[in-house]
Amino acid sequence: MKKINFAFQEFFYVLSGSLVIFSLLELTWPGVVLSCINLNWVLISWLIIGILNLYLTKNL
Amino acid sequence: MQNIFVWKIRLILWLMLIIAIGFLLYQAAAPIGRANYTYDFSQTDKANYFINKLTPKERLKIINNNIQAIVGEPVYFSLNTLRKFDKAKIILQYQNPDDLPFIEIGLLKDKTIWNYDLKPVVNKTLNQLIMAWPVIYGENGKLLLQREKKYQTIVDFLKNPPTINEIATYNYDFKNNYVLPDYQPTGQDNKIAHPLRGPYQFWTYVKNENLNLEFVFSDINKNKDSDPIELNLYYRDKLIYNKILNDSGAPVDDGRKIDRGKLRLDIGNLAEGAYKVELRVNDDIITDQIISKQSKLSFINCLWLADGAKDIELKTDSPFVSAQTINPASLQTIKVGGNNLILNKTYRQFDAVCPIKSELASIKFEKGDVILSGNGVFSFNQDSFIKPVVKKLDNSIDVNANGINYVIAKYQMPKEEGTWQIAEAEFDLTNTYQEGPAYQLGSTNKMNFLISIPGLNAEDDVDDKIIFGKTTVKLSGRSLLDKIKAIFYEKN
Repeated sequence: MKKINFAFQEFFYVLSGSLVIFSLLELTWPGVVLSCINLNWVLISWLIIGILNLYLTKNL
Repeated sequence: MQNIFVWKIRLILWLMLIIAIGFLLYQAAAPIGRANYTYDFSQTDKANYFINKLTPKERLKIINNNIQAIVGEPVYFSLNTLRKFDKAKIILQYQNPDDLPFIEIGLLKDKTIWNYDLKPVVNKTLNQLIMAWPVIYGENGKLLLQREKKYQTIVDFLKNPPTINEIATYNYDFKNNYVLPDYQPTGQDNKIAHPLRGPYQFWTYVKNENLNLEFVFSDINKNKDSDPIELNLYYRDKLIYNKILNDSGAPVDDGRKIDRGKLRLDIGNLAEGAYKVELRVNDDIITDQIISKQSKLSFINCLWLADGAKDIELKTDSPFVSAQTINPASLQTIKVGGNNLILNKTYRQFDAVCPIKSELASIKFEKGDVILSGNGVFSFNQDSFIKPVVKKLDNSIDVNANGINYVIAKYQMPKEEGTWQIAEAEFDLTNTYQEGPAYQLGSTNKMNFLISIPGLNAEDDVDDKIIFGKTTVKLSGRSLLDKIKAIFYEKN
């Protein structure tokens, strides 16, 4: 269970990093990310992982 | 043990992110200088970042099996690229159930005068001539059609061409040395006092005289954009003179007409021949007068007689005349030859066929604010008529009635693939209108395309349509290596 919690934590950090990097990339070179990836889905995944992460941390 | 697990997960996830970023940058930069994008115009539920949907919606219709068809023309789409490319090859898949005779695809080159670089998709007249007349094929899709075989090669034809009345071209830049043997300069002032709105191009002729033209302009301030006036002079398709009148006024759209002054051209030592004058302005600019010492002056393809023009008479060699108005007060009946062109709706184009005669067709109408267009030139009187170029072989031309004996074109007949027909069009992107955000570091560009299908009208009662399917855009440009090499060689 703890391992899953750690994995979720790492996944959350990577998603946070990807959101920041993708947004900066998109600002400097419009279309570079949005031509392949819908950032809405990244944001939704980030929120779900974040909530799950909080839930797991609280219940461990 | 737990630490190793965390590090493994961390490494894998960040590595995946780095790979994803690398992939995105590779896609965008296209380091080999090539990119292919595909989109199916017949499917409405799919979206594509690179090739956008067809617009406007009013000219599209969903038919059986959720297939989107085009029922009116022109329709537009745009292409987004993430870097600059030099060439675009468009492979269009289409179905033409109503056998529409003439389809072209165009790339927007100049937004001020809405100039599109048009390339063929299908030209039924040309397809029929290829079947009926002897054909000589040249390089890069060039072909020469002759009613009776006289020339053995295209080079022979270009070296010793027949008179231009016998020739028609399509998608081919035919250069001819046009000379009027009986022309004598009159030295008199010729005045066009009918106001003209927006951009236009006209032919004029010079022989042992100065090119002398004076334009009087005003600005009707219908939109807030800056309204510069640019006058270009071309000889044999080369820009030889350019003059700009900048708009120094405040950006207003109050509809008040203001004086914008005059532009004069007085150029001497010009070689004898036909010259093309181009006025590049937006629709706010009115040319109130053109005063010229040249006795020949004919407007090319399109002319917008502005509000205030009265009792207008024009001459044209176009096989048809199209008229349109945006002003309800300008609805009227236009006499085209012996035919009536009834202009009874605004924002809609009406066509009339000109009677096939050896002399020019006459166009008469009472009120201005009418846009006239056709496949030919328009002059304000018979004497000022000049047409130094050959006819364009489109669906409006009757080859036999016009005495066309030779057709030179750059054209490839569409291929058949099952129920679809496949056409290819190649565009040069180096000198084209491209939109892109100003703040960016990369070079995102948006290019605008048009699909023209003359005769396809969404508002008529005819149930005709055309279906465009899978469209592939193959882009090519300089590779990353070429760009690096260019920097290296430029430095040395």
